[in-house]
Amino acid sequence: MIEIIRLKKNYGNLNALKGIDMSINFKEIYGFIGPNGAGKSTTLRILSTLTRDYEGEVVIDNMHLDINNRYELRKQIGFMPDVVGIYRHIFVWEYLDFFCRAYEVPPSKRNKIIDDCLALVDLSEKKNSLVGHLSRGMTQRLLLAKTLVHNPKILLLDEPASGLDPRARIELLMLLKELKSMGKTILISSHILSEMEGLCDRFGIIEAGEMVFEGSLDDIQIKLRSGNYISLGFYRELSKPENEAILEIEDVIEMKGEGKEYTILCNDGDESIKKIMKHLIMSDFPIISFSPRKYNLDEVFMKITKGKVQ
Amino acid sequence: MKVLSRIMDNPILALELRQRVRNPAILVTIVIYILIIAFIFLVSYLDIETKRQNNVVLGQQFFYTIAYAEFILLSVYLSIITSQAIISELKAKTFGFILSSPMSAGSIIFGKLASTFILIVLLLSVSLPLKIIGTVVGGIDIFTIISFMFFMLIYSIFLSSIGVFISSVVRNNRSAIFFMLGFNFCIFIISLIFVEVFRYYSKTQNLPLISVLFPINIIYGFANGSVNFLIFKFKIPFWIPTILILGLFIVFFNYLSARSIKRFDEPITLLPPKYNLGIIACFLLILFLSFWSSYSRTTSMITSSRISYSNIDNTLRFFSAYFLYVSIFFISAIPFFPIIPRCKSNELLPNDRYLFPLNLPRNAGDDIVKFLLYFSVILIGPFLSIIFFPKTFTGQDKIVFYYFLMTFLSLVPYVTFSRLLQNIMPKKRIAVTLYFILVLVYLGITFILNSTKALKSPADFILGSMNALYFVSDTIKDGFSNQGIIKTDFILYTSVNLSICFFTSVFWILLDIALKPLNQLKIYLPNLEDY
Repeated sequence: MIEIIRLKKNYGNLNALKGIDMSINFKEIYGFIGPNGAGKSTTLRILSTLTRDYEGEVVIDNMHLDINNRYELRKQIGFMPDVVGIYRHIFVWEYLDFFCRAYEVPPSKRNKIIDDCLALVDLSEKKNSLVGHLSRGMTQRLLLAKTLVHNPKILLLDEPASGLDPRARIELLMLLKELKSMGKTILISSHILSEMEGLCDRFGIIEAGEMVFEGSLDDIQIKLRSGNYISLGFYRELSKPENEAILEIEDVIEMKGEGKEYTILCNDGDESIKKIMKHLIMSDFPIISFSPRKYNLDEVFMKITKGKVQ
Repeated sequence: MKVLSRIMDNPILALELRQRVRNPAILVTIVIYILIIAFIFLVSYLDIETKRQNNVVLGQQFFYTIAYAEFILLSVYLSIITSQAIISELKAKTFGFILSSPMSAGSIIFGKLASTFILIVLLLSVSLPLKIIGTVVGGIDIFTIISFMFFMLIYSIFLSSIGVFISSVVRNNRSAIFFMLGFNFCIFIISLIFVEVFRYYSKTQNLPLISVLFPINIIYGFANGSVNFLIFKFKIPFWIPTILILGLFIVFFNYLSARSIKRFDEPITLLPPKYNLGIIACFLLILFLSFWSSYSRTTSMITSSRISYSNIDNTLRFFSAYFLYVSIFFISAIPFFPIIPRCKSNELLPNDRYLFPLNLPRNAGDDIVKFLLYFSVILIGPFLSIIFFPKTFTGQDKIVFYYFLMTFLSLVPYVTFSRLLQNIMPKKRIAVTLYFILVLVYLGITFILNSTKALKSPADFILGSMNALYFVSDTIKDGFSNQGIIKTDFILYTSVNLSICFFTSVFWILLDIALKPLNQLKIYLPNLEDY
């Protein structure tokens, strides 16, 4: 659906993008993760056809992005920038009407589309309210509604959940899942990793203008296989000698925790896990739970990125 | 009907109208607007009442007073609102939405201009009852009122185009208003001052100059310029060249705005190199045609057939008017120099960061080269005329040509001073303010000297307004008196003045270099391959 090949962008002496490659499949939610200043917004601005001077190739829906077809491509794309820009002195329906006109929606269909979009984002009751009177969460949903008025195939969402309270965030994420079920391809950039984890099919991690990883969370687990985490639960607190005994087990690298809950990091491979489990049972440790676990997105992110800034 | 519905379907137009209708500011604006005009009308009425003039004079005075007031008010109001057109979108962070939609730059500009146009129609309409008094009392017919409103609407589009252009290249709203008001000042106040000086020295009320002034100072032309003039021996009503010239400016500025909007998140590009030659060629053609067709000696004699001018007077007036017309445009362009980034090092900039495609190091020197480019473009018209129509340029006419050349060169110190200010001032805004203060001081000095009759010819006035150092030498002042033009050695005085310009410019450049940190001081030579 979207293919980016060796994309480079310079702002004066600053190399914002250093030749990134990226591919987003049809009907998938792609999480674009990276620290501030990594190049996420620049990539999204290029994809949304706002930035023209770049090197590399961008293919959207089998069309090569260039100066001649960008107006055509804009009709396929719904772009929601990271800044909240609204016209405060018009009504909610007028705000959507503005974008219907801008995206050349025929006048006869506008009213129905506006009603449908407002229903989708649960703002029907606010149709005749002034945009300036909406809460932050509602405004964000209105912005999402405006990206949908022309029924785009692709949604580019730059930090859509930033500044929202927990409830509004959850509602927005549910909405994105609904949009995925409607067949939209969604590229979402964010640095709130916990939310992306359950939402996205695949991830791209960018740092200092370079793509450091691309794939699913499972792919990342395989890539990061330099060790396994095992969560251990005991029915009583461990004594100091017991603690030391666990650390002396072959393949155990480190152990963290206290009281009855511990996490150990061991060598890579299923054999290590099996060996440790066998040892704990045979040595009569007061164990009640043993669960090898995967890296969560926060850990993946910290492991993959190096904290580089440009 | 289809066209109308398409116009009304413009998203920007609909949005602007909805926002304005709902904003109480529009009501306040209309009330204040009508109150000011009513107050001016009252003052005018009391003035006329004391003189007890006849109805025709009374009606005319009512109408022209209101027309002048309306012209000034609308110019200021338009300057303020149109110079915010794009900047307000930026402030509200909505411009990204607009740019990411399939709307073209032309459509965005059209929407902005159309909404302003509707607003102006509204304002002109609310003051209509006051304007009609001129007809009721006598002395003004309905056609005059309609044609005034028509010209005001065209002029409003012209001003709005410039306002939108400024709004698309300047990123700060106060600077944009400042530029726009500065532009108004140039085209209105300076042109009025010049024309009054010309009128004083010509000892007559009707001048060919009015035809030239009309497009740039529409109210003056409207009040004084209902004359016909000739193009290739065809009698042409005064409003045709006016509309054509304003139309060209409107197209030109909207073209620049569109280019600027399309490349909005990229470095400022006013004239991309590949289009530059074409634009310069168009300007050249316009200047050349306007020079030969409108103002050849024969034409100017016919134009002023009611008054007996000597040939030399007409030619002088033509050149002065021609100079005025072109120079006002370019003087108004000089403040745009601060758009170029401030000098932080002497590195070469990418080509598209320049106002013109001269890839030169960022110091005061490159502005001179740019200025000489302007200068040569403007002079090519007259030069070609001299080559193709040598009989037009004989004898004393050459003197006027030297005048023309000299006055343009005297602008160089302004440019170098402007660049110096940009480089040494901590903020661009301070540099621009200081620059305008300097311009105002120069003009003020000149104005005072003129009112005390220290100056002896219109050309003195022009020179004086461009270069205050000119007044330092009594010898020069005497040399350029009306008689002096013809009798004294003109070349000598030209040389003196050019030397002053040269040394002033060199002074500013040296000061600029001296104030830079030494580690940034490098000398670059222009690379011919860059051209």
